[in-house]
Amino acid sequence: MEIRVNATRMELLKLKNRVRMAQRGHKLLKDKRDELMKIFLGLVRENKEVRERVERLLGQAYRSFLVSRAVMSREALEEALMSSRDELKVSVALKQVMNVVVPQFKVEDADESSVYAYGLATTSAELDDALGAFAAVLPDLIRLAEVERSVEILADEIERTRRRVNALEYVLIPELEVAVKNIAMRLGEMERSNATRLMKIKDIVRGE
Amino acid sequence: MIPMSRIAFIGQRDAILGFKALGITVMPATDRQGALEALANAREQDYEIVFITEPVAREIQAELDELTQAPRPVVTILPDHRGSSGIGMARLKSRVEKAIGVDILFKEEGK
Repeated sequence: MEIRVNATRMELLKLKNRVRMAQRGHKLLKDKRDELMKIFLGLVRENKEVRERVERLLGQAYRSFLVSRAVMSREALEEALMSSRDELKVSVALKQVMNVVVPQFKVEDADESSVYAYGLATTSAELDDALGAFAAVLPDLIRLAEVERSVEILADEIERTRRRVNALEYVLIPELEVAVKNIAMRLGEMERSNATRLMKIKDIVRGE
Repeated sequence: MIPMSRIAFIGQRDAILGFKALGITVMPATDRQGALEALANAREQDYEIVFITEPVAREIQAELDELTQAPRPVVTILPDHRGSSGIGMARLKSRVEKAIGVDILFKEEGK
């Protein structure tokens, strides 16, 4: 789309200001994008690591839980689990990364021994193992939730920022520059035609 | 005041029952209907983190994708006792591709 304005000095000045402004915005957004990218890559790497670890540990925990389920009666197992502790609470803090808000979770009251809140007489040692394994992955699970959400949010933000950078770089700034050039040419042309007219008039005046 | 919140786990009952002992709310679900109900429940009750097992997550993929726009809950897909099918990694990969345009995450492993 071409920018159409009157070819006047006023408009030329205005356009030149807009070009400067757009270039400044472009540079800022580019810096933002690069910084977001840096944070994003770190998070992605962590995300991958945590997920691999979680998937491994969780697999082991599930296995020992299934074993414990096999050696205990269903009723005994359910009873043991029902009698367990209060709800686990997480606190949520919001962290700003380059103007993007990401959540941060923290487990309150992470007392591992409270996992075994059942009578020991009717339960098996395998259940203890399984619950211990679950408790051990829990911090990683919560970290995974946090990191994965952060990656999600940052991915959106990077995409948005990249669009804006590209729009400025490949659309707005070139258009503005073309418009500035056009006006400068029109003004030059007007000035030249004015000069020749004056010369002509001078000749006519002198001829009389 | 930091807001406090809770964790829910949606999945096949037998697999996730153990998490109950950790103080996580277990919401058993196996099919699409049950999963959607559980998810709606979790949202209603302001759970901050919702874990969901892979087979169940696959049932309600579209709904989960919509949820990524919402501020809460944070939904994380975890493998169940049958092991990981790589959904979680695939999601991570697609996010990287969306943000950067190319997949740089798994390239270095020669995939």
